This record gives sequence, structure tokens and C-alpha cells, in this order.
Amino acid sequence: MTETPAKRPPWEERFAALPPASLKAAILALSEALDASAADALESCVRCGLCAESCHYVLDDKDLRSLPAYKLNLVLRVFRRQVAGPGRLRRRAAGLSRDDIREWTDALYGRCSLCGRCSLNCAMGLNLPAVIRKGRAVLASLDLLPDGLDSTLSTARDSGNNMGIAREDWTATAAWLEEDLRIETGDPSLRLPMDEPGADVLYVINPREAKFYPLTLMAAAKLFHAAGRRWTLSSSAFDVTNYAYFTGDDALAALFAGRLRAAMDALRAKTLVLSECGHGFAANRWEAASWLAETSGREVRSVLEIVAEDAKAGRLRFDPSRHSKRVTLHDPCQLVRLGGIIEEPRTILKRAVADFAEMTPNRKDNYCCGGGGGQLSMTAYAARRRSAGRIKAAQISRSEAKIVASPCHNCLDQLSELNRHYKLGVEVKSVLELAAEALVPGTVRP
Amino acid sequence: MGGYIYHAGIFAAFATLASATLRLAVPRGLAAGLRIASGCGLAAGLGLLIKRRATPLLRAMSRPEDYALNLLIDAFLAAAAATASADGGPAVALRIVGIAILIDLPLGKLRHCVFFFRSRARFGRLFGRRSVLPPGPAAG
Repeated sequence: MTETPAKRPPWEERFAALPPASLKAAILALSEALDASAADALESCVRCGLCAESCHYVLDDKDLRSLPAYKLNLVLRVFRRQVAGPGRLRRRAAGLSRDDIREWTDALYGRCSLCGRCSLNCAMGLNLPAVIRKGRAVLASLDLLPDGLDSTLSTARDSGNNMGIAREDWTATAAWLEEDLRIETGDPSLRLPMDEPGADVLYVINPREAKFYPLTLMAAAKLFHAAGRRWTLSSSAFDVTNYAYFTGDDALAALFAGRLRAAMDALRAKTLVLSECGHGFAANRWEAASWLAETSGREVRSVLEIVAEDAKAGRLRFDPSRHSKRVTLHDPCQLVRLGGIIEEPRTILKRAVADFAEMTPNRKDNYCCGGGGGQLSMTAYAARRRSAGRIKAAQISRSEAKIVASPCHNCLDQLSELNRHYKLGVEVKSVLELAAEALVPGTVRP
Repeated sequence: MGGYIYHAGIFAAFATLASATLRLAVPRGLAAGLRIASGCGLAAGLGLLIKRRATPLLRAMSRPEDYALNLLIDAFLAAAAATASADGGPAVALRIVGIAILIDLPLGKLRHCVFFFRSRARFGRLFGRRSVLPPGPAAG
């Protein structure tokens, strides 16, 4: 790992400096990015408007530009004009226009969290996030990622993790947390093992856990220890996030996912276990095999699956009376709707808290909090993101919960911001935190 | 719900077109069923047309093709309802509109009747692991 990279020029500067040849190349990039599935989706939208009723952006601002079908048709317009329509060879010479780029950036990056709720409500079953991701990929190929998301990716690419944490700082943090845990539990055998070969579990975290939210990493350590799991962290590859998943840059996404696979091989770990991270799960569990063209299976699981499994098997016991306040659960879109991890957080919470209440709607139908799709890092769209979060804030209020749990760090950040912005008066916690707090002490092994 | 009724009516109209073209003897009860389905489809189609015009977001994103196709299909449904209720003449109108629909099919929005099955099958197969194309070898 190296130091944090030099500051990149802002979007407007990169946009102004864009050579005409790049605009032509963008059309080729679009043509290459569109696979059969995306082409199907582009040709199949009947503009029925059902997606309007599902998108938290549209429900909030009633703006045509927020409509998923509108975003799809933005790409379709260029696709028809310059890739698939008659006379395409002549028109392709003109390339993507600068107006197209501005409009695409605003709609595809600034008005979508890639939550997939529109797909679920689409009469045609179109994979709209996949098409929007293709459009985003074209902008990424032009080096026109919105500020914030651009620097997050640069940092991850150049330093090995999206927070730019140096290896020595990471290992020192883990050692410090281990010491704290031993003091807190009085258990000298409790560890945060680093680079231990042959472990069953290689655990990878959101770097924010190391920098700002150590309680969630400590919670995982307590739970693994209590269940008797043989686990390890890696000093070289520990970042579960993969923001290239949101930008459609498959080569970069493969680089990030490949780092975790390589650490798995180097440590001979059996299972890659992913911390509470929605897109990290979708990227590493479902997409990475395609990005890396893997020919053999890898065991990649969410930490929620592991903890739920240990709870059901009786390896973990909880005292729900430690959480007497009502707890509700926010389902992260990438983990639940697009990831398939639906009942596991419920299995854990129903054992760890006394009063669990679902939001309405929930599970695969849940509304996005607004923090996904890279939105939290794109400061230009922060006001829009908070406004679209109104739908989630209303859901939380209706649940009458005092604690909102969510197994995703992006969601936790957005929920915390919504809590302040809409004065919800709730606590926002991760599922693992709540579980670790309710862990019956006797189950922590001596 | 309007969409379901609309499309059920379209299938009934195509059944009516087939029976009229092939000169099949349709039992009275079935003919009544086709007539009702086509009529309900027509009502739903007109309802969707009004909705498209009256809903600001839907109106803003609609193209002339959306209205034209709706009217074409509504004409098809009306002709089917008339054909199923009377012998002879109206079948000509049904055939003419049917031919217009078949001509439009590969050219415009009607293509969705082909893509629908493909995209739905893909949606069902990949639910919970969407965007994995082709389905990857990740451990299950």
C-alpha cells in the first residue's frame, strides 16, 4: 500500500478538458458495454410508469428526470441514435454530445442509488440498475466520475482501501482494539488475529470500521470468539467495499475483488466472510466471479449468515432483555433485494432484542435509504440524497422504534444523517453491535 | 390491474381473429367469453390512455407512438368484440387491424411482446443475484 494519492482535478475541469476524440470513443464504450440483457431492457420499456411508484427519488421530487424509465430512455436515445439505429456509422462519428454527458451525469449518478426497487416493480422485469450501470460505465471510461466518488475510487485503487489507511496503521488499530476487548471482557484469550494462515474465515471490513466505527469490528470479534470460529484478518487486503461496482468499471472492480481473493489464497482461508456492507456483498459474492472470470467456486458469505448460523445452532446465546427499546431493521438494498440475505438479520435481531418491529414495506420491497449507489460520497448531490431519504425517515417514524439497525455501513451513515436532518430521535446501530451487546457472557470462551 | 385486463383482452382478441380467419365454429359460451374479455380489454385500454394523458409524469415521458399504439390496439379490441358478437362483416375490420399490428410488431414498441418473455425469464432466474450475467460459478 502507498500513501493517499495526489488530489485530482474537479469534474468541471476534467469535463472542460475532454478532447473530442473521447466523445467518439464513448460511443464505442457504450456499444461494448451493452450486453444482450441491457439491449433487451433498452428495447423493452413500454413507458408504463410503474417504476415511478417505486423509486424514492420520484416519490420525493416528482421530477421526470428522476424516473427510472427516463434514465433508461436517456441511454436508449443514444443507443438508437448512434449504436443501433439506421445511419449509425455516419452518426457515430459525432460521438456523445457534451449535453448528453451533463444529462447522463445528473440523472444516472445524481438521481439513482441503484437500489433495484424499480426492477422489482417493472411490468417487464427489466434490470434497470444494470442499464444505468452501463451508462455510468461510459462516463467512467471518459474519466468523468462525479467528485467524491472519483476520489474514493482513486484512493482505493492507489492505497489498497477506500480510506487510504496505511498497513501499519491498520495493524496497530487491530492490536489496540484487541487490547480494549480484553480489558472490556476480562478475557485474555480474545483476539483480533492478523494474517493467520489456515483459518476457516478471512474477515474483511469496511475501512470506516477501522477509522470511525471500531465497535462493529469489536462486535464481530466477540461473536466469532464466542462461537469458536477460527478466523483471521489480513494486513494487506481488508477492504470489503468495491465502489467500481457502482461505476460500471469492471476492470477496476475486478482489481478490488481480486485483492480479497488473493489474500484468501495467500492465507489459505476457506471462506471469505464479508462485514456488514450491502454493495460489498453484492460485488464480492455475486459479481466478482464474472469480473474475474473464475472457473472454480469460492465460498463467499456475509457475516450475517455466519452469526445467524451460530445463533441457530446454539453456539451463540443472547439476552434480549438488554435491548428493551423497540428496534426496527432497515434492509440494505444490495444485501437484501439484490443480494438475497433476507432472513439472517431477522434471525439475529429476534434473538438479541426484546421488541423487534418491521418497517412497512420491508424485505425485498423495502425503500432505499438513499445512501447507496455511491451517493454518500458524491457531495454535489447531498441535498437531493437527504430529500429522497424522506421516504425512509417516514418509514422509521411509523415503526415507532427507538433503535434503527442496519447491516450496511453506507446505510448506517445515511440513516444517521436522516436521523439528524429529520429529527427522528433514534439510535442507529449495526446488527452485529446489537448482537454483541446482547451476547450472554458465558458464551465468550475463556 | 388495468394492464392485466388490457392484455387479457388482447389475447382474447387474437383468439377471435384466429377463429374468424380459420372459420372455426366457436361455441356460444366461448364467443360470449371472448366478447366480454375483448370489451373489458377495450375499457382498460381506454382507461390506460386517459391515465397516460392525465398523469403529469406519465404524460411527460410518453411519445406519440404510445398514444398511437394504444389507439391501434383499442381498435383491435373493439373489432374483436364486434366480431365475436356478429357473423360476417366486422371480421374484415379485425383482419385489417390485425395486419397493421403484425406490421408494426418488429418496428416499434410492440416488440415488447417478444422481449417480455426473455426479460421475465432472466428476471426470474437471477432474482436475488441480479446483474450476474452470465450466471457465474460463484459458490452456492
